Amino acid sequence: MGWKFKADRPIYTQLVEQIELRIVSGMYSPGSKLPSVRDLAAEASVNPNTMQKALAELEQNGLLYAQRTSGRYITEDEKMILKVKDTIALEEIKSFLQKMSELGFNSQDTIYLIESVAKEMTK
Amino acid sequence: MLGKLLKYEVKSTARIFLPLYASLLIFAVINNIFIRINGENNKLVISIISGISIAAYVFIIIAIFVFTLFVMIQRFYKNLLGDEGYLMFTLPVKTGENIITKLLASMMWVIISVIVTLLSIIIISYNDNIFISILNSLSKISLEINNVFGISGYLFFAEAFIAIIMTLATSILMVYASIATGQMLNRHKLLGAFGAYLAFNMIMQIIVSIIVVIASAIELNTVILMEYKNTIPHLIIIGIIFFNLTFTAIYYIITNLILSRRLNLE
Amino acid sequence: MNPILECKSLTKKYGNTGALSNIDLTIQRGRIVGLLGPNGSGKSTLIKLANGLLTPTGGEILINGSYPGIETKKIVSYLPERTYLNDWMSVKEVIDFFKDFYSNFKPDKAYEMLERLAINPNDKLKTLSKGTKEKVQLILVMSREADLYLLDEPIGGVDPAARDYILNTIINNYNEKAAVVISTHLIADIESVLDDVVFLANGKVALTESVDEIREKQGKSIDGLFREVFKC
Repeated sequence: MGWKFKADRPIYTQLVEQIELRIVSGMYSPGSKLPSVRDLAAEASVNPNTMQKALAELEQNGLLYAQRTSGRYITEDEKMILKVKDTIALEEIKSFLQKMSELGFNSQDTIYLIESVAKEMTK
Repeated sequence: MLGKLLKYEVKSTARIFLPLYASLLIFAVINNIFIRINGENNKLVISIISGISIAAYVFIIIAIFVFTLFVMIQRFYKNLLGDEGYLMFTLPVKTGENIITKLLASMMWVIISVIVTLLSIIIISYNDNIFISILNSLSKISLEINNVFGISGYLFFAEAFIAIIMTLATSILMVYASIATGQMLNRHKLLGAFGAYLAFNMIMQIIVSIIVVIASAIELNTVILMEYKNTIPHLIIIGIIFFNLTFTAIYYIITNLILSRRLNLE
Repeated sequence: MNPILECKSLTKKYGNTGALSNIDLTIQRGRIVGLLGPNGSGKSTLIKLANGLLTPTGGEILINGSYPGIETKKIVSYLPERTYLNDWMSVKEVIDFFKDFYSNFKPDKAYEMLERLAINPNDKLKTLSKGTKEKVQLILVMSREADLYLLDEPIGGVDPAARDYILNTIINNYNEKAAVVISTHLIADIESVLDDVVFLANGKVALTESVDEIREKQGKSIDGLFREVFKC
């Protein structure tokens, strides 16, 4: 999973989203230690201050917690992680359905299309 | 910091001069040999080769002096006011230190060039008695000076040496001041430098003329003059030393002020 | 703490042409700032003034509270837009040169970066390509533990891979005590590395803002905003 940023949105919000993705997908496992701000910033090729801001926000909403001397860790609260996972998924679905309706498909057609494509993908 | 600057300055310029000096001395040795051979041998081939060798020797001497002049100007112009100036002027050193470095290095090479040339002449004319002859000549000259002017010959040599050094410093700093003046312009910097050089030259000549006129006016008092006839050359040399000391200071101040306050790197 | 760079009504005129007029600017330590603007907007002039290569016609420029001079030169690390090294030296000799004059120069860091870029320290600068020379200069500048880094077009003539390396070096070098000012045209490439941007136009400050604020308020990238503000 690489770091990809859109140019017209603040970077730190995109960082928050992408770190959340890594947490919910299990790439950063619960309870594990996060790399230092500087290493993460270098990995993502972003300003360390911006990365710091993103991490601070994640700390705020509880996905990360900080141990004063040893750095930042992913929360062990699996329920919270699942909740975030669901929220992200729901957002994706909502925006997808929105797009599909803009194209002219109603919900039923959309669901039918999803099922057939999913069947294709599992072959 | 001055020491460090000097170290790098000498390193940068030694690459040009040392090979020249080496080849000069080598040719001096070669020519010495040829002179001895020529004395005993009249073969045409050898005459031609030795002729070429002597020509090469003279050519190298001329090259040394041309290069000394050229390098002196070019180091100041290129290293301080070209692209390298972006490095030199952002080093944590005083502007004055950069100027003095270039001045001392230039003077050093001039002096060394003269010494090496003299050395090469000694080598060419080397015979078993050469050092004794030189010392004898020096003593004779020194005695003559003492007789005519009433001061120790060696003191005279020392003062003359200082006067020459001071004149050298003034000449070099005059070039630097001219280049510094020229670089203030946005265009035609070299032209500006030439113009400044001519202007400085003219001013100095006017001042010298004024001094000479005043000095001549004083000379009208012949009685006192006859009493102190012997000290006049001495006074003249000391006068030259102070004159150049003053102008060295003036040109240094001009260069330093311009480069500190009106630096105009491209 | 003192801002590391401060301009108060800073003005620079060449004869009758103004290069900078009444610039008021403050740059704090720990920030990476982009100095952006079209050609002739005064970016290089501002950087030269900060380095003491030019003297102001009016107003003042302060580095850590002092006028540009020997003390500020010790804490400012400058990468000019041109090759400014003595051609005859080898890379190693240039490192020794920097070590001689700058007490905060770290040779080990420099050698490490050279090795990473496969540059042989024994090569003479004369024999290096332009791109490699520029990398060497950048390495020298970033190997100093300075309080202010002034980089004039650091990614200009370099290939994309080297560009990434340079940006990563800047990020990795980051420390809260120092500020980095990057003057460049290639905005899109460095946007994500910047904290704040300063737009210069016709010698005046057109805009000072943080990157995230611009993206949030204007809904476009810095690159996009720049094109809009400076449309020909």
